[in-house]
Amino acid sequence: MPLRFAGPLLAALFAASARAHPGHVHLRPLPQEQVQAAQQDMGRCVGREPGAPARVAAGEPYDLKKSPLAAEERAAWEKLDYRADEKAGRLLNPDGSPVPAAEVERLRAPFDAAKEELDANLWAWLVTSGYRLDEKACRFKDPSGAPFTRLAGLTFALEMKKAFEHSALEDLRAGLSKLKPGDPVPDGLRERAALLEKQGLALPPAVKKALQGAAKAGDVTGPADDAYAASTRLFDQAGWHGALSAASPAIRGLTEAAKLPTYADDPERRLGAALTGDIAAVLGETPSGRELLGRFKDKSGKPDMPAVLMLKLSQRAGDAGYGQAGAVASPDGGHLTLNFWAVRGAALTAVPEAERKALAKRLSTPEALGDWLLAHPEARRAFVREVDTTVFHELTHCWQARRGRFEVEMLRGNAPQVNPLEKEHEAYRAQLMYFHDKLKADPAGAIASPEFQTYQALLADYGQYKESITRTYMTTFPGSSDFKTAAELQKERRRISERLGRSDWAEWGRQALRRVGFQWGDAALRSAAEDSRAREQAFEAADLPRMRREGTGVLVGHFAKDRPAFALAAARMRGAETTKEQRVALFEQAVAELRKPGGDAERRAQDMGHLAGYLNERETDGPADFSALQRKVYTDAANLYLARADKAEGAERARWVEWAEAYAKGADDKALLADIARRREKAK
Amino acid sequence: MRALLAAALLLAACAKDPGPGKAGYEPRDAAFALAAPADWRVTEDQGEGHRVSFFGPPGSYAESIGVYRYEATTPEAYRAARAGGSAGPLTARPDGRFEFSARSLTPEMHGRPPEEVTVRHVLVPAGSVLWALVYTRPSSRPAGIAFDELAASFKPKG
Repeated sequence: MPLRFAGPLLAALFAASARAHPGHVHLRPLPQEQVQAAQQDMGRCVGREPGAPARVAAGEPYDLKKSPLAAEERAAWEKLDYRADEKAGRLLNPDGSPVPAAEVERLRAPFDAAKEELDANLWAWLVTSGYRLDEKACRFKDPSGAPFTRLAGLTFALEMKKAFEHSALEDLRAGLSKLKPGDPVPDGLRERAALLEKQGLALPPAVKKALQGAAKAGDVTGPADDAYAASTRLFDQAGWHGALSAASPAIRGLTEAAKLPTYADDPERRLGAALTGDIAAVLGETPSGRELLGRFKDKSGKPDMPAVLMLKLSQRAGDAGYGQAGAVASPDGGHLTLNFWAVRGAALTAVPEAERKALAKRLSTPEALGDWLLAHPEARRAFVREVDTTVFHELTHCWQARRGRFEVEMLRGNAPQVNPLEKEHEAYRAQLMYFHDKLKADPAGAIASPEFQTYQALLADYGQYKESITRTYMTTFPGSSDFKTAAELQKERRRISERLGRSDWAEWGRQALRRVGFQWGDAALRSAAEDSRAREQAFEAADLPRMRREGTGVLVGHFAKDRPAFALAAARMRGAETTKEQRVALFEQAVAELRKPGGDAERRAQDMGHLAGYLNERETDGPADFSALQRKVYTDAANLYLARADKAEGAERARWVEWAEAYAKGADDKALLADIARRREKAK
Repeated sequence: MRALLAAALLLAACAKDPGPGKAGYEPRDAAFALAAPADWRVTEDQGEGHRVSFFGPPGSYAESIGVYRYEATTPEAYRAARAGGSAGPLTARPDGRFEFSARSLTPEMHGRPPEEVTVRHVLVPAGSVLWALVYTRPSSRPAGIAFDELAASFKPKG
């Protein structure tokens, strides 16, 4: 049974996928209704049928003399710590016992997705790397059509685990490099390692133990360095050939990996062409969309859009991680994969509930859904319209991957495996530039969409908006990094390479070549960082002021009639071009609204906040009844939040009490403040 | 960003010991000084008024504290510009500073539903400059003491 994998290249891709994949993925959470719809009749290949073959521990041993292993297969067994005893003609388990022939056959057999579950990261990696699930047999095939065996699955899973370990070690080494051997190990270093482990980036057990027991930095540096060096050797396994290749200029297919496979067959190609047409039509309605689309050209200037695939990014709908993905961009910018489960959920919720069950049964495979989408162009276009900002974000990543060399050198092992936050900042701001164009074309539609609040945050304060993106990434992917950190990691890699080079002359030569390769990585890293800075500066100097000017103009016009306090707030936002007369008129209109009794207390308090802020600027005098009106509105809001607090517990309750107190202070309502203080005391 | 504050940056310029678990921080232009948790991660000068941010604690990185500098603005105008969503009223504090809190949702990303965060802004007028100390935490998580300690130590210069 041939094993088809690319050895060190696969390791590099795993390493890349471990940290770079999240950077190229925008997992827009699906609405709950769509998740539930997608979970109906998910087909056979969901790993829930009984009868998955268990490990065979006893029986007739496998006879190596009668059936020798091919070199490639033997390497796979050895990677999993099995050993061949040529003399005895036996394949040995890691514990030294002979492997039964039935166990060899079990692991050589194809992975059965009907009966077995696959690791979520590995599943996503397979489908975005050219492997396809045969839905009838529930078997994966590799890009050449060969079956994906259990043995290959175990080998890939091990390589992925090692890649994660390598990342965790690299992170620990970078933390330790700031400390002197006699410095105490800060708690933060242990807490960070624990957090990374929760995210799947676990340290090797020996290093973890050393870190837990270490009193001083020097106690853990040795074990960490040894493990890091061993791990680096593993990723250098391509030997002289790999080192020479990495040290040479990148040439596609020769010293750089061939492009990742895209369409596997004609049905995929037909659907891809239709979806590409929809994407071009939807994004092409806006100037920013047209600009992005225009960037995808080949060397002769002909359009060269990324291929658009629709595949199962997880074994089941709603699975953790990729199960809720909207779309994934490939690290080489060659293709964009829409998640089958997301498209299916949207298709099912778009039809009347009575028809849903029957349709779910029909649309349980990508091929069936593809046919349905080709026959229902209006549903297809509607889906693309629903996820247009996600598609814009992912296409931005495709363009980033195509325009620079950083990803290329990262995949060649010449630059550290990082997911640079700068690229996320750019993709998010590009997505919001697209949203800005949509706002101009259809203010009501854009204001009602979930992106509106994020857009407001960007207009109000770009620095604070970026901090919110960074914080969210740090919380979700603690391995997230920036170019500055990547440069620090590169220094660590160089240091380890020098250390490895001291072992013997052959290793010295190989590591010297490796460091030549690092120079390609350094150049790509520098160039990517400079490019990112230049784009950032151009955005701040030209695009952001324009967006503020135009955006606030649209918002003032939209809210002027129905919510004058919001229009006033927009008129006072940074970059707004409004006159004093306009602002005073909006203020008076908003006060008149608040004088009307009743209405939503929270909405009235928000409006009053805008008016009070405006008065504080002393552009106009408030009416005589303003203070009384303000007290009334704030007291009503404080009582509303106290009522919410009474129905809540714990942190939720504390939050409402905090809000009630803020408004009670705003109203200067001493009785209410005393009541809040009493409640707090009682809660203690 | 990976740099731990304790070792990385320009710190030891502070004359006073910042205390256990804390590190003094002073930017290159010495425009301010503060004491921050020593093992939080740091980003500097990210654009538009941003000077420095601290992310922590290392077991979750759920909180952030940002320091921002704005020219020619008032606390009222600052609040008005950021009052999208739900913002509480601006209150003047006895120490001459101002503050307000707001709630907002984090951007949608990576399979993670938007999370509601509480953002507390402490505003420090200093001549023609307004400094903003911005503390963000998930609304479901109680406020830690790091922000109050950092804000108390914050001293604008010049």
